[in-house]
Amino acid sequence: MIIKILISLFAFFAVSRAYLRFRDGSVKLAALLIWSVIWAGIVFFAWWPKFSDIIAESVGVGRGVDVLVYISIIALFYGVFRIYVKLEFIEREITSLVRRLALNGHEDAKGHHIEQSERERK
Amino acid sequence: MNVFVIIPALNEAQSIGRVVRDVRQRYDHVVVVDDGSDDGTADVAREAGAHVVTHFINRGQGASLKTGIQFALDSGADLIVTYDADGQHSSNDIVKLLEPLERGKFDVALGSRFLGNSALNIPTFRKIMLKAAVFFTRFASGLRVSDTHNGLRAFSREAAHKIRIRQDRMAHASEILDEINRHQLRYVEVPVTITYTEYSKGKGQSSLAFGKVLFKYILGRLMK
Repeated sequence: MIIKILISLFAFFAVSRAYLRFRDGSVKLAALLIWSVIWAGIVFFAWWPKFSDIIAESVGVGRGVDVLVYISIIALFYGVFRIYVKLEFIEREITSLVRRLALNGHEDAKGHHIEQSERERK
Repeated sequence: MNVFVIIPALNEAQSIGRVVRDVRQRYDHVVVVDDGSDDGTADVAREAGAHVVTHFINRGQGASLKTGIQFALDSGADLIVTYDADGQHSSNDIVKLLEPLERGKFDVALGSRFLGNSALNIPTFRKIMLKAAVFFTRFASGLRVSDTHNGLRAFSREAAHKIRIRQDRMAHASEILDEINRHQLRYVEVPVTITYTEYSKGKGQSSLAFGKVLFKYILGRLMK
């Protein structure tokens, strides 16, 4: 019983995080939906593990999925996802920094000094 | 019309001088974006008469194109051409590419090596991978083009303004097509000649890198 509640709480936490990412604009709606579905599935199996036995049997695994292993894998996936988002964000920051440095202080083709690029000001 | 030719270059000191001089015979404004080279690419390009903008660390071809396009827009370009540094393109093709834009009929012209019979010595495996990319693009971008990864393209000023390149590395090629579709830009494919020399084959994407590019592209589409 305790494990079910813990899993549910964690799932709620994870989905809320994904939602915040979505709201601040770093994650698309599609990604939010995918994560919500995954976590809803986890919660479902936590409360009704019999279904995992049914699925395991129909797929041919033979026994119900080891919940702990499942959780660890999903948690790892979640971690990788967060790291990926962060990394991509940092990469973009670095690129815009490098671009700014490349263009700033450079004279454009007409010999005018480019202070701040027309586009980036917007 | 103020034409700017953007050439992203990474360690192309061997070929960049020849390429810049060749293009400069037709167009005054050649912009070489040196993407963190350590072989003196920037000096060779400057000597040949190009404007040189330097990324002090390597950020990838997509990032370089964006920097070059921004430079060209800031400099008042009317038409912007992207061109490869390894000498596989022919400067004659720039004229063909710009023609539909100059007449104002299209916003974007895309070079294609598969229209007509214009890919010289194309390695078989690369051809298969490029065809697969074309097939994939029909689903991903909804664009029916015959060559998705050709470095030779031309944009009107307005189109260049609208197109947002966020993929720093090779997946920018598919992203540009997505952007054309998103903004409903009028595009045309123009047959261009790609000459595969031993040098350019060594410099180009290894065919195995296609999987990585695909992965990056799909993840990029899931992010804003």
